[in-house]
Amino acid sequence: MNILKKIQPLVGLATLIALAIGLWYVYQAPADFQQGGAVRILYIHVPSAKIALLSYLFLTAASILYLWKRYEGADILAEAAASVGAAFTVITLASGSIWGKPMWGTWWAWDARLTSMLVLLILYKGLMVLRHSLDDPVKGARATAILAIIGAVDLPIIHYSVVWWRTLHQPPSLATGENTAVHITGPLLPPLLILSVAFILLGLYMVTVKARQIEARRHLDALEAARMHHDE
Amino acid sequence: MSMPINRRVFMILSLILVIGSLGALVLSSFTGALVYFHTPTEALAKNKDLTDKKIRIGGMVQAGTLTREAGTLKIRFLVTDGKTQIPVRYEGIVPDLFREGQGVVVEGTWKNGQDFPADTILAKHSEDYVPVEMNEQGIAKSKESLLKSLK
Amino acid sequence: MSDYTLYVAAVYGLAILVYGGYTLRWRASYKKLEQQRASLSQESP
Repeated sequence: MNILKKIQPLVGLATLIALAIGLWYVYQAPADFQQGGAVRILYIHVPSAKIALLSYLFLTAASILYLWKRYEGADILAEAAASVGAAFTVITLASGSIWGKPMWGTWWAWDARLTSMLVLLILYKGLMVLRHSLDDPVKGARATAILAIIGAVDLPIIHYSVVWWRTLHQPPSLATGENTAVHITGPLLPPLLILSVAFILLGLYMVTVKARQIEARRHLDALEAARMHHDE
Repeated sequence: MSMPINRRVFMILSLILVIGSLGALVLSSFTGALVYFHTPTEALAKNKDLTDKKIRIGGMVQAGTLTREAGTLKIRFLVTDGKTQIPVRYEGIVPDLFREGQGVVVEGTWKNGQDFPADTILAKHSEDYVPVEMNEQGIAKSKESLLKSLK
Repeated sequence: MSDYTLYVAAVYGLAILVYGGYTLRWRASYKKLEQQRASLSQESP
């Protein structure tokens, strides 16, 4: 996929710039009236959660495209999105836990938001295991794509969990749709917005890097297979 | 085609784990098991069903009701959803966000017609983030959001 | 108000470790794979 090679340095540079600006704003952000300095954890937690979900959306789209058109590129992107999404989910859960201990008084609660987010991590890891548990890579890719599409049912559950059920986790601070409202006041808001953009770029960059690595591995595997065939 | 045994185990395990956790989540979303706590109004309404059961009640620590027994970690307060109040007693360390006028989830065994003896207190944060120098505004806003979320 | 510097540092440190770590690992792996491929295709005409 030549396009990945072309965009990688551009996306990488944009990511670094956006991260630098975002972190500067985090450094400048005042303390929150309830949480004090712990509010800074939010700036990693919320953007990570957004990318964890966006990665799965991307993965689902790539899986549908792969099953429909059989483009190998779509399968490579799906495989890359699983690894990247898993990383963002891990940070979402870990940062939430580190925030929860002093603020809520617990590392973990089995409420709808936390539970459905944990299921997302299980999905990502399950997809990664399933792909390599089949001998035939094409069969592995198809099975993974089908499971990925079934798993997409978790996305609306995560997103609406804090609205549909009473949870320990707070409702969204940037509500859209019917009751549009911003619950983040003054200088506490810019770092969140800038880091959200930065993390979208970071996610894109990581997918690019991972996809090229996967492609290189497949090329090498194909070459080795061809050589073995030749030697026989 | 025969598959190496460990690969097959991985495949079956990953499928069980993924489909199992997804299925459990979807199922529990229909049974109400995902509702983390009762409001005080609900708890009183379901009084009989809840007796001697371990439950969670969520609401706001009513302003002006928090008292501490001098020299101990024993506290008492009212948890409210704006309509109903339930007296709570607790002994121990409270989370940093626990304070009057803010959200709380208390865990304990429901005894009919008695104060609620909490054995765990969790603070529930509202979705409001306000700079510390705008404290007054923040307190008013978070109260409003919290009571709205309890409806 | 308590000091949460340690908690905040843990979160930012973990994020750098995980995001940075994976990115660098994948980049290094890509380079290695490409080298292997180059040497393999040189051997066999």
